[in-house]
Amino acid sequence: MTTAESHHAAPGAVRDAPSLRTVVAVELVKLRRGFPLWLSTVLPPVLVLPLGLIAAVSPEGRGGDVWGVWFGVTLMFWGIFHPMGAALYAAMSVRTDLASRRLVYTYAFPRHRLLVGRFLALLVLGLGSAALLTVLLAAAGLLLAGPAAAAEAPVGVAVPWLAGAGTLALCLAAAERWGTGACAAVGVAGMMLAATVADTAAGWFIPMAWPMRAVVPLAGIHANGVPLEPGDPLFTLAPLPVLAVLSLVLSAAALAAGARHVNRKEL
Amino acid sequence: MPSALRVRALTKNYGSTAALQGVDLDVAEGEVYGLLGPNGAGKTTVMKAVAGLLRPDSGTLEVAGRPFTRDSLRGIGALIDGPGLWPRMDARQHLRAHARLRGVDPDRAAADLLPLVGLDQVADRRSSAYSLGMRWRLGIAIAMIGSPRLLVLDEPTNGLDPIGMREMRALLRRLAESGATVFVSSHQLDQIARTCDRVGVIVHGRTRYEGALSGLARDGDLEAGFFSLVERTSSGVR
Repeated sequence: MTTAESHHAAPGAVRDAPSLRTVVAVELVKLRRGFPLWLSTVLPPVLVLPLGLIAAVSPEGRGGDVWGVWFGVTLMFWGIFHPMGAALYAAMSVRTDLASRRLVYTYAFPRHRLLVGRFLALLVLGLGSAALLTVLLAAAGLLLAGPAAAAEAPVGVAVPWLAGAGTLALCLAAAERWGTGACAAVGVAGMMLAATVADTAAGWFIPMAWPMRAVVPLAGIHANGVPLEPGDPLFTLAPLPVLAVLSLVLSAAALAAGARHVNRKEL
Repeated sequence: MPSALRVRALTKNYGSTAALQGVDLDVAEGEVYGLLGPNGAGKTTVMKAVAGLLRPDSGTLEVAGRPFTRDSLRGIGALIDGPGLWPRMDARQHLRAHARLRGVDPDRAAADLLPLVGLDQVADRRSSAYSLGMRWRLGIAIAMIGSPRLLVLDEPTNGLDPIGMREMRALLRRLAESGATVFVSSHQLDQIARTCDRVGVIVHGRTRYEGALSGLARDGDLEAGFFSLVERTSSGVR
């Protein structure tokens, strides 16, 4: 060990006013070493590759529509798994910080900045996962059905991701307020509800079903995976911007509730 | 000597349990001040209040002569209930991440503080591979980011082996020599006796003694004096 002369040469050097960009960058450094990054990188190939095999041996696949089946079921699982993925992201990132918040909560800046930073960092991580899935799907589409099929992938992956932002914020707020168990419960319930009610009117009232609701017209399938009949009104794309706006509004509301909690929380 | 920390009539209740019932303390700048008390006396509650982790029900806190506000935390480095590390990150990454959050140059923080706490040789090892003593030292280095005038350390010798305790005592003395005020709690009398300039003793959430350690001794026996104070308080004799 060395001596500490002059270590107090600059009292008041602490500003304790990190920008949101700094908080997000620090969160991403932390997330680089944990389960969320692992989930983000493993999920896309785990979805795409086995489902490709299943699509190839399915009756429709053997009938020549491998790409149609592959694209549809991959997006279906992307939409249904979204609430569980959001819950795992939120639960693991909050859990990792349980000990360290005794340090960071002693800093002078408002604690909610950490919550918002974590949300944005997880959103970025999810976007990375979406980008990877897009690349895999687009490559498969290009090989099997040409450029037009490949061009379907970006929208098919990105819109459910955006529609799931509200669920992520909800899961983060739940993890902060009630713990990781409650957060996981939101994820499990969300996954089940997404698979059952996303294409019904009730789905509009269940945020966790919104990513799957976005998948329905984009992939041309019901929430249970059955293809839509030609002319089905669920083919309309009109709900997509509504889902995106609803998701952003829910994000803001859930983060506001979470911020109120963390700012007042006593450790 | 100017005041680093002044606590007056601090109270805190958790439901029907009174954790603090009127704590008064005066910590002077540049000293190592030990907060003593048996388990459950309220030491950690006082520490948490000073670190901004809880709001007292009543009473006042002053830091460097000014009423405590959230801004006061810019001049405080605190370590409460353990080092609070991220297991997958190494010492350098910890210091850089916390320095960025606090608005301090990350490279300089790592370069200055790793040698100070003796972790420069293992700076790139994951913190989960550290001994408890190393974790505490890393925690203290994080608390030292930005050169706070007041360091608040809750039970920093808990769980340490004799070598770790000796290193911790030496570190606290060096921090005080460098100009920081160190406010440290412990229930280990011998550790406080070897480290601190003055002490405060709280029992059942009330200050029972404050002053030089020698004033606490009874017939030259520090331990006897401390136990006598605790027993008198517990039996209601003042």
